[in-house]
Amino acid sequence: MTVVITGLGTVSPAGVGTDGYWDAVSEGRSLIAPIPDFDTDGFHVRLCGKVPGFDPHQHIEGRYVVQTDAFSWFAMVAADEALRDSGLDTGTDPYATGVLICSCAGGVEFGQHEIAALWSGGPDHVGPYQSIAWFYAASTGQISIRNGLKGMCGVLVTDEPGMLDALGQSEGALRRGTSAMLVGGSEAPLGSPFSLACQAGADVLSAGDDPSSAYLPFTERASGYVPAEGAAVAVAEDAATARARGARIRAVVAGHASTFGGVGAFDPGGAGLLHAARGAMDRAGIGPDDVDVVFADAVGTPKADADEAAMLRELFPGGVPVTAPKAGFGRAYAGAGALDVAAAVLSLEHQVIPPTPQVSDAPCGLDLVVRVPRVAPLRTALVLSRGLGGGNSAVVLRHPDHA
Amino acid sequence: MSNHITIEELVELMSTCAGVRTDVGTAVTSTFEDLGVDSLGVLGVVSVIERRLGRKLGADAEAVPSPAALVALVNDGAPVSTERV
Repeated sequence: MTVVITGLGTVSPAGVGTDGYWDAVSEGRSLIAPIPDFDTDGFHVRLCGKVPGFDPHQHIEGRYVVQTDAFSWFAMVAADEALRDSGLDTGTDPYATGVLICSCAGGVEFGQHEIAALWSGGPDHVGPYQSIAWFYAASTGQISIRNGLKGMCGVLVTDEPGMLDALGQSEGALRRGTSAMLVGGSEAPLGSPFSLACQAGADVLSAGDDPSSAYLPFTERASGYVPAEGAAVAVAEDAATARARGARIRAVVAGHASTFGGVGAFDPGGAGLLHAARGAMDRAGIGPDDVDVVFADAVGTPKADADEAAMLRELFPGGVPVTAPKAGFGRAYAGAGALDVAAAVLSLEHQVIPPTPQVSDAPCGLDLVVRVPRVAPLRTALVLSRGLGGGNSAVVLRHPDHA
Repeated sequence: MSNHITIEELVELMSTCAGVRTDVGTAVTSTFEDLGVDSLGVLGVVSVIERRLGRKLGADAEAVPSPAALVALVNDGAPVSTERV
């Protein structure tokens, strides 16, 4: 079996839609701005990558809007675009299509509203949808219900590597008889003080208040990352199934591997991420010389960056172009790996490596693509991701003409 | 405080609590299921009505099948019909 991506959808700090996301990413546009929805006094974080002007009622029926948190809105909208893009017929056999959307924090903003109702009004002021809206599996469930998708469904509760692992797991679901999997990651961690407080304790967020310098991964001025929100969803199918229905194959998922360090830090030393990258490349049957671009994890703390840079130098002794588009908008937790996968697919399609925004020089001995997009023949991309809880994942994506 | 609700108020509550917009004419001839108000949506509507009235409607209130039956239960204490309208 060869897993391929036949549809993509994104909701990102560039707005709703994959075309706009690629425009912003390929230009290296900065989308970082002050946290707009509440007073950040008392927090050491000021900036974020927010989905601009998002009105769920423009995209989703009211009865789904009232019972879901923003992280599920983003996932539903990204899933709509991915389904449209894939041209998949989900109506004939509802059991043919499954859903697996990753979440790191669940519906924290929704939960804060209901906790406020509990404390100010009492238990009978808490709405019944609190029972489902906060839950990590809410996005998967609502996409399944709203689109009538009854194939294998699940959720991975993960930090940023979720989407990479979902692509890896989709192979098992496709082998077991589901014809297509909607896989993705979605996060909305910026809408309330509670959600920000959940992130602030880890001491990895940037305290900067200048959008042009707050998130500078791989540089001497790296001081943490800017939190972001967003989602990306892909339609994954077996290549033979996709070809048989005449689908456009956007990328081949050639290999995936993950490791777990089990520590509350981004893979100290880099050995876990290195092992995951080697595993994904082995499964893809490729060596270092076959990789044309790496989408780096790019945490933006000096230690995590140094570990990733050292790991990349070890894995690619001959060098490799590296980029981190997320430096333009921040890290969206379970949405981050998903948006990176989307960027990698688009990069392969356009034969363009997007630059690492804000970063002006290539440091740390890396061939970091900076300032301007780099046109290059691209057959194979390696996407790397680490989670704060110790999960590390890598996925190899290949251009369909070169897989 | 009013001891009654009107169908108009219930139409408004279905919008705010369950995100379902409808009109009075449709509401009086439909079940909650027809309208797309799920069981948690009915629970939310009942909860708000109970707060407004300052009295509990009883466990059966959450099982009423339709807006018309819920209005009847609130205003007349009508026994809940499980038949579809």
